[in-house]
Amino acid sequence: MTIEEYNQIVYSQSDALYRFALKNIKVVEDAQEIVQSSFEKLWINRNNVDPTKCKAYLFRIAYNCMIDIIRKQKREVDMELISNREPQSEQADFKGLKPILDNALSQISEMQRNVILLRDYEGYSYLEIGEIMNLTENQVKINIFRGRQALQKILGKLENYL
Amino acid sequence: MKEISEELQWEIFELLEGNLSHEESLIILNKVKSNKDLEKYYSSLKQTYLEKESAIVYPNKQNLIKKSIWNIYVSPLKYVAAAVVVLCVSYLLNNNQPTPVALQSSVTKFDSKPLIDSNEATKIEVATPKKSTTLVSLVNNKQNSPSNIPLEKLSLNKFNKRKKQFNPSTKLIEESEFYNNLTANTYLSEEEKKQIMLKWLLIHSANYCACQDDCIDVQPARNIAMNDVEIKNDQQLSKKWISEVKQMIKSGTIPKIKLVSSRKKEKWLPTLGIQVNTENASMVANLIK
Repeated sequence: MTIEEYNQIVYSQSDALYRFALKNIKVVEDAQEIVQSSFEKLWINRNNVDPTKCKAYLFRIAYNCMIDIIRKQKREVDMELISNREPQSEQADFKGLKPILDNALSQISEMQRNVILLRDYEGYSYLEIGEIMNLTENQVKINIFRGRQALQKILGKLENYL
Repeated sequence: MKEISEELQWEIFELLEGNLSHEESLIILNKVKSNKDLEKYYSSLKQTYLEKESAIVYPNKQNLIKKSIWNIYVSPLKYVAAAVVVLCVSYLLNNNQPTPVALQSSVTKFDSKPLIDSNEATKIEVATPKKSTTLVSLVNNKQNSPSNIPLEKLSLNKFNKRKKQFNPSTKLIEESEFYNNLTANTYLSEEEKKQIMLKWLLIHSANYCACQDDCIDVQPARNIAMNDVEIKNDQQLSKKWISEVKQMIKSGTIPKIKLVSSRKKEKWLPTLGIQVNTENASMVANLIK
């Protein structure tokens, strides 16, 4: 991979990667760190990465980084505190259903959340999501289905409550 | 709300995911419209789809960009290089187009400045056959020589492996053309003509070496041929060159010159050289293969 190709990937993928990380982690600094370290790893392994598959490679690194961070947080902080964390600056712009949906997303499983984020935010196919998360196409599809059902239930409960 | 079968839930999911054909979608949509429970399920599942937030952008993108060595080191220097080139070009233009006043002053300076500093040796690239390195070394032993004979490295002919011939260098073409126009040049003094002649001799002695028979794969460079004479034979070129030099000596264009061609054979690297002696200088052009 040449410098030009790498820079091209930075321009085309950094925003998507940041969105993916931020929606998962919800902490701006952590999300930025994930993007930074993902691109660092890509640069280090640039000669071993197929430029056509570097998008999946980047997201896989970011996904692994996120898992590490989440596990670290789980050890350090009570999960309840995480779920009740004050929204970050990006979340301040959310209107209507967005904050509710965002909150609901944090309540579903990690795997389901990630597949839905990759599917909805980045528009990845089941195959691409599978490459990122080491899943088969069917597993991805089922996880999306289950995740949406879970979100549906959370939103339904909220509707009944309101 | 009645319990909706797993199959129907899956079909609605497939519909929202966009995995169904147009016809299949219409069938499911009709089912949904005909059943209020299904319609409610459909709309609640539709709510779970997130909208892409393109407003969220990574703020430190520039920190991720890698700069090439060219951008880091060379790019800032290009301005310096451009300035140097401009200065050199302007200097050369001033030197090559002397005004009568400037000429007068340069002639006045001639006696006081040496041709080449004593004990100074300059290497000049000439025609290079195959991968061999061909150099012309210029050695001056004495002082009292014109200062404006350039001592810069002259790249003469470059060997084109594909065409198996030499591509004439622009520099040499310029030199040859300059020499050809020399006689018609009215504003140059005799001394300046001599200086140019010496320079010309140096260049051509180098080419003479390159055009010897035992130089492997060396072809005569067309630009060496003067007066539009296309030389196809190396020997012809050598003879022509020697006869021209002799003629110049006779006519007094060049001061006392002694031509010495030397050959030294080593195991694989034969050396061929030509020595040009003037009153004040000794120039040795060596072809090293």
